[in-house]
Amino acid sequence: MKKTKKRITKIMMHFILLFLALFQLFPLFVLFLNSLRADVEIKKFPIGLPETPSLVNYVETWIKGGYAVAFRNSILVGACVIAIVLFAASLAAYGLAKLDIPGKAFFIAYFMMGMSFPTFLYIVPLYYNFSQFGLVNTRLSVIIIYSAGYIPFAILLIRTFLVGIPKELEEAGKIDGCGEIGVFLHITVPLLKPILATVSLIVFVWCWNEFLWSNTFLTTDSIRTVATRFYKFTSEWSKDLAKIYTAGVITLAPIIVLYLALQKSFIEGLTSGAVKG
Amino acid sequence: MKKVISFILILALAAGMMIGCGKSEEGAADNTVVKETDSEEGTDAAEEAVQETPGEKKKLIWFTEQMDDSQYAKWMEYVVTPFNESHPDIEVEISATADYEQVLKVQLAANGGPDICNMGGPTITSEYVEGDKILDLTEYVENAGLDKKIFKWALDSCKVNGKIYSVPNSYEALMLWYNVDMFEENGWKVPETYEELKTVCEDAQDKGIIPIAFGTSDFKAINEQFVGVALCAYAGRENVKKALNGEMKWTDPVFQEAITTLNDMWQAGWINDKKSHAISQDDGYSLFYNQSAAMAMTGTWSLGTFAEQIQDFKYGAVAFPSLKDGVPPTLCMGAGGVIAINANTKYPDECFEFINFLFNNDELQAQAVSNGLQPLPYDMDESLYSSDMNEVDKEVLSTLENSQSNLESAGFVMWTYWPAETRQYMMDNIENVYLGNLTVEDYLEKTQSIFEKEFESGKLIPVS
Amino acid sequence: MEKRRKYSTRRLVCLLFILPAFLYHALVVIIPSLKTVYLSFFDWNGISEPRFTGLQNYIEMFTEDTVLPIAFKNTMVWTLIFITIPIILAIFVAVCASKVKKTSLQMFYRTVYFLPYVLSASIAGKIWSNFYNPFYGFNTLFERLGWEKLSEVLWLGDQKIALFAVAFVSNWSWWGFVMVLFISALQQIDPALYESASIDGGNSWDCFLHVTLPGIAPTLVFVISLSLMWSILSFDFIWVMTMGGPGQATEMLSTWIYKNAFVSYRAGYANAICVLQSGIVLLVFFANQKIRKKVEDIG
Repeated sequence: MKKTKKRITKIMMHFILLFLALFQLFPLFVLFLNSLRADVEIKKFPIGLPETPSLVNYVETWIKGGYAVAFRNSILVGACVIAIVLFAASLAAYGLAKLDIPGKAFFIAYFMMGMSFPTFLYIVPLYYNFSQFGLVNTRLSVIIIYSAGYIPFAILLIRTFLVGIPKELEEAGKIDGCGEIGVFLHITVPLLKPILATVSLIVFVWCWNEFLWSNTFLTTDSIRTVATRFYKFTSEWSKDLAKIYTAGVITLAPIIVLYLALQKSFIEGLTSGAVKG
Repeated sequence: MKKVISFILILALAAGMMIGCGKSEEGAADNTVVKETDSEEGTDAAEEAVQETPGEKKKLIWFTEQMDDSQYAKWMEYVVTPFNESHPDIEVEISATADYEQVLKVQLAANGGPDICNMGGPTITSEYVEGDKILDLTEYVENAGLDKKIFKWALDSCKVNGKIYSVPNSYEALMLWYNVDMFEENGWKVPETYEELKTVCEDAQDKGIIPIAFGTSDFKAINEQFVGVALCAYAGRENVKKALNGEMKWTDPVFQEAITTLNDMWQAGWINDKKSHAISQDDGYSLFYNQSAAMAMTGTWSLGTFAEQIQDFKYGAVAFPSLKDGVPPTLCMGAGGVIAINANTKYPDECFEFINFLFNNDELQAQAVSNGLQPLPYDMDESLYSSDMNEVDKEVLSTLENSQSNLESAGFVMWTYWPAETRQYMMDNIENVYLGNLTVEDYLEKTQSIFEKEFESGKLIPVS
Repeated sequence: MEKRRKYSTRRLVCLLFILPAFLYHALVVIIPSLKTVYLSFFDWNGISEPRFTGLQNYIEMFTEDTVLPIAFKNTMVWTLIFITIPIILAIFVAVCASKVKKTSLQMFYRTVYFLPYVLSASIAGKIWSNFYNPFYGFNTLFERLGWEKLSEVLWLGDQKIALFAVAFVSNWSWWGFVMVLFISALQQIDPALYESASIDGGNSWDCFLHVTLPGIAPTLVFVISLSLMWSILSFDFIWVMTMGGPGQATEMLSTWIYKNAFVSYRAGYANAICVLQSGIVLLVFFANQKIRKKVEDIG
């Protein structure tokens, strides 16, 4: 009796999990399928298999959308932002998690607050300042903004991770004669690798997707990032749903591929916690 | 308590830094990044203008609304390339972006931005004039004789405090587009009166056809099209003019009835089956393209798009039918947008030279118009239009041009004639009337109170 | 004396760890923000010279603005949705998924649930808007299936439904992220605790209450605070899908700020609402810190 009940619960559980998985993926399937269909087909019925699958949409969208340049820009911006964020955030997170810093509560409060700072609160004044330094319409402008904007989140994420690491490790390091920086470099950083990968991934994805800032600060096509390109493209081609879906696939595909490729270190970073290490 | 102190500390610290160190901003950035990006930036437009050396071309950025590839190609072919070729020392470059008005605003506010800027309409320019962000063009326009060339009403609409700060870059009219084939099949008459419109709409609904295609979900502002048309087609040109000149109140019964009629039309499902607010602008038009809708509401600027999109049937366009006995059908007309010069440009003369070129480039302009660009607001010689022009285009353009010889019968579009805040309120809130959140009375009362405030400020240009 | 000096230099060295991030962030984010606070006391169209008007903007906010109360109410509803549904769903699924024995399958679920979170809101919003389209979207499907009532619903056009329709999409992208956080928390729990709980004769619900819940409590607090603040500030999906419409049915504080600042030339007033919004976030933040402390003490 108890066993059958358990079995039913188990089947139900699997059913729910599967259903949710399909639910999460469904829009993406539609997106992908529609990128292979013609505009007329899509307007007749939004969901369906392509009548004559073709890659014409891709070729046209890639060229007309100027995606080659946009990809290069996004990758460049993303890489720089990751470098800055990792450097500043891992130091700060270590400090907040492990060290006896004067005003620690203040700093934690500060970064907590910084994480959810409303964008509108600083976009206009920042534009003034950047304009004075001649930074507007350069990739550097968005690199600065993104890295500053994402640092608080990175710090808190890394800190949460670090708090989970037993003190014994570092204390052992100190007994071995390392200073603060030595402990950080030789003991903490290697442990941090998975969470740093997670942070990089998230930061990169955000840079890739970010729209409001890049659309305001980057106005020349040659330095525009992918998301801005997508937006520009959709308003140019809003009549042609097939092209918009294709642009969607082009914009999303790198993120999805990256995510799938790095998911292992990503999920490990969030879960394993290096407790045994 | 400790947290509060922490917060105050944050503020104090940040305030201290605000005074102290503006420049460490770059220093804080990773050094390698600065280098890397700098070398990439060498070829950038903005920087070139700054580091300009004698003998190099003067680069002007012309900032425009979003356009698609074919439009871009046309602007290049008929305007920018000829200009650059005939002015070897100047190079104009088009920069188009989504949400261009918002971007432009931030840029001009920070004393940066493009040299030549397109703007959505004359009502917007007054905001820029207040901050001295755009140049006074009065002298330029007069010296070049453009004041004699450009339609008076169009140039008048660009005046702020009696001075010309921008130049209209197109003129356009709102029309009711209809599917000619469908009308013939069903034996419908092209409506000229409310009763005729009613007959068509009701018959279409019986047959499962959407009467008038219209979508607003991605761009709420286009609600103003129906508001303007309803006011002119019901209350008539004279009454609207009086109201705009402060001689009549928006709460007058005639306007109440006009908006009520509009609301009735919406409630009856004539305007996109009561779903105009649930679909986007393009979704709306595509209902017309695929013959799910018998008519569509849009302006003459859609000529090029419709010609590209519609192949399966014949279509035509007429002025919106009169909504009240005794009021003639009114063609609501106005300037499409304006072109202005950034007050901070290095080359004001060259910028104006470009604008002047636009208006003294008849043959190319005529070709551009025959190819689907909007006409500039001056009397264009029709014989210059290419002969293989599409029938509908010819007809619509001549309707538009004829309206100029008979201004007495033309109505007003909101984006040219309405004061900014009144317009904003009316177009933002008509949806609330449709959806039953707001009564027609309250709607017009608030409109009137906003209008009075703006009218008293003395900034308004009398409408003639 | 000697000892004390050594101690304080050490602390200062420690401070060096945090200063780069702090100074950088303060310069780029906080200082411009303070300028915004300052400008909220001005009448400013975003372009010309601001004119000082004292508290005028704030007075207008509470007396004249008829949209703000609606925006506030909608924001509250939205927030309520996001501190309950995605979190409950995420905990439930995290518990279920962690019971899946096959590691590869478990990995698969996690990967898939999380996926929408990495997509940009503008693209996801565009796709979903198309699904919601009354002429080309799901409704066509419902009609074919013969579900008359459903096929007539205006998902984004009905004032009673639009907010939930957008929240549904936002949730689609959000809950997977929350779930991954919970899964990681679940895996930190010592399995021995479960064993001892079941030896004590507890059923799975007891296990959940006495072992799982305390184990994930810090994460739960973190997630709730995150959800609260993010939903008060949330903008992307709403803007892409409805722009605050129909009428004011999905107007949020953020969309109302955006409209004032960028659409209707009222930057000074928008700044004032911005200050209000940030104030609420701050309030939530401090309240949350208190609770967090308590939870950690209990833990």
